[in-house]
Amino acid sequence: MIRVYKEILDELPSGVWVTDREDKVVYINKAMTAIAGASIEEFTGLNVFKDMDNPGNKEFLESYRKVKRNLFPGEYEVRLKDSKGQGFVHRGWLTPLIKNCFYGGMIVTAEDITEKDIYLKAVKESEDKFRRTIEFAADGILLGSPEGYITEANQAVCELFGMDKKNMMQLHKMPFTKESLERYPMRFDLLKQGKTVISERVIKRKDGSEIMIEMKTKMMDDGSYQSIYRDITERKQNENALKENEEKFRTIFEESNDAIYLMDGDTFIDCNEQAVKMFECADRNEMINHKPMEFSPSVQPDGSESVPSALEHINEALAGRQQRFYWKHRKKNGQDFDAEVSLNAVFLKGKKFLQAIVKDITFRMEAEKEIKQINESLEQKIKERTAELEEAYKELESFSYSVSHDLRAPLRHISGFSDITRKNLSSGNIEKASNSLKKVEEATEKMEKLIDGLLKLSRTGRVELNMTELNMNGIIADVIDEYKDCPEYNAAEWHIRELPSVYADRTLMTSVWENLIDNALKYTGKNDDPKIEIGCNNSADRCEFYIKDNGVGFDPEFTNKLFGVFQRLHLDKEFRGTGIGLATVKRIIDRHGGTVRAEGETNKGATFYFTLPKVQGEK
Amino acid sequence: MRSKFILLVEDDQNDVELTLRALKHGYDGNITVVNDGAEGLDFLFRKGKYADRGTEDPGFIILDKKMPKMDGIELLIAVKKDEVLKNIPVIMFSSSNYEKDISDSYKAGVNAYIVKPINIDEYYKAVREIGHFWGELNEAPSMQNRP
Repeated sequence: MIRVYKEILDELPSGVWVTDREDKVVYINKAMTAIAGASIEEFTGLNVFKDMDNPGNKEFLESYRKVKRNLFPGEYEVRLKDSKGQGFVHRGWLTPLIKNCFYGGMIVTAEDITEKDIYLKAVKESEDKFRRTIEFAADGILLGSPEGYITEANQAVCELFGMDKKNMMQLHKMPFTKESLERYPMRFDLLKQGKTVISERVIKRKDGSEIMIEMKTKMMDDGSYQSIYRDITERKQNENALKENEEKFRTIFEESNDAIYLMDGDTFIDCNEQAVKMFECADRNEMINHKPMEFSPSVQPDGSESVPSALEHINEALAGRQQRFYWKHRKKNGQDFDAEVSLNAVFLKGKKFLQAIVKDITFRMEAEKEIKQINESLEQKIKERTAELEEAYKELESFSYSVSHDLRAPLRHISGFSDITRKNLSSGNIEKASNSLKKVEEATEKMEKLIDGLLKLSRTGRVELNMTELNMNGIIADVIDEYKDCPEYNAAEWHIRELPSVYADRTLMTSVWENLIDNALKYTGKNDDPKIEIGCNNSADRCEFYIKDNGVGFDPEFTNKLFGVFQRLHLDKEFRGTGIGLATVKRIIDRHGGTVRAEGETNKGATFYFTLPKVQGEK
Repeated sequence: MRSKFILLVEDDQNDVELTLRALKHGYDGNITVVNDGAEGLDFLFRKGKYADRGTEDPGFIILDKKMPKMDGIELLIAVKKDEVLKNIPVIMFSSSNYEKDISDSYKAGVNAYIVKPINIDEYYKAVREIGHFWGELNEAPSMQNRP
């Protein structure tokens, strides 16, 4: 039986050796020889205290003595170096043998734990390293127990929370703001599935400031937590700034009053809402992937063809030269409009695109056109006014001319014939004296007429027109009435037609007829059967009045002189006159917006015409 | 020597009378009076009622400026355009002392411009001096080479 046990002991993988009461080795198994580094023969018989007392065995010997004294099992660990200098460790368990209540020897079991020791050391080192890594990690790291206690917190996480490590470890409730928890609630469901949950939180730090963190949490198999915290305040701010910027540009893009579109080559790839509106498309799809040529007439107003012209602008812009030009665009419904286009090359994700800004300048063009028209009409008005002024100046010249010329003649005659009268008187020639004195009188009369006429003429240019509805027949009757007692009037055969009423100044219109009738009577005075006809040719927009006589008429070659101031076609000795009457007629008709003309032939009578514009509502 | 033949172109009968009166004593040349530019032209070019007038052409012309139908300047221009008539001295005798009339006359080639004085003695004096200078002292090219 004992032999069987011995065989088992011999083959046991653990080392076993036994001592007797005197502590002498009585048994050693094979495994122990490998641990001890000695053969059975060498080891057997050794005394523990005498033969094994060396510094390496110090712990073993102490433990051995303690077990022997207390008779209570103990253990030990030995670290030795073998003959090759290789360190090894073995661990042993000491069990005292008790015989009749007294110490009877020791059973020592031992195990070579060199490899295990190295492993544990490595584990420890790795753990240390890991701990240091955690400690100095830039991200905050927090480990938690399944129960929710914090088991580890690194420096970074303490800094994030603004706490020291001690406080951090005692933290029961994480100081997240309510809003951030509501926004990203704890997803225990996902955590339990072993998923890593990423959430954003705002931490209210101990000093009251807030920081935004990104938190990555994972639940371990044993129910503990690992969380990694990262400060994303700055990143968030940048992101927000970027987002704001983008929103800002989006807004500018979308809210612009100008159409904006992006082109890849000559194809639209994006456009804003205003572009859709401007080109009157249903939506962006009617523009995107289409070409600007589809939104242009084939020929531009300057005669150039749209396609090559547009391509030239596109190529110039792509070459980096900003283009700004006038363009006739066409809406989806085919209606053309004036636009100002600016083309710019832009780089997006490393690719060159064209950005076009289109301004509808229809109103501007219309305004410019209007301004041009106003300017032109202004120029026309200036021309007209200048002509009027020139006319007025010419009249003024004639006026001063008359003073220097026409008024001088009668003065000279007064002077001359007074002298002749005196001489005739002194020579006693009464008849001759009387004749020359008559000439003095005539010269005086002539001068009076000239002065009267000049005054009338100048007044017609100055008085304000008092326009009223006038019965022309009535006015003519009044004028003729003045001649009732003249033989010329009674000699003449009068034909006065029914005349339309007009809007004109009564006084001036009376003056017109006075002059014309006076002329007609004067130049028919030498006729045997004088005839005077007054009538009117009515047309849509004007009335042309005329007075026709069968008097001496005039040489048509000199028609242009008839209406000039102080211009006469007859000698004073034939027909007296001042040369002011027809000039006065012309000025009055001019002021009423009408025209004058005359027809005549020598000895075959004359006809004078004048027109008056019809007033609105007049038939 | 007999004074030169005067063509007086004047529409105003009173002025004609005064002018002739001034020349009555001391001027022994012929004087023909026509009443306006058109008549003057007819006389010079032998047209109308002057078609059959004599061969003598005036030695100088006294021309009123302002007349009915054709005025003095128009007649002056017509005379100075004519290759033969242009040699006849033309004296503008006008009431006008208007600068434009004077310069227009000289542009058209007038030989003298005299403003009619208002005072009768001065008027007579002016007419007599015109007669003396242009009718007696002045020599003009012969009119015999008329083409």
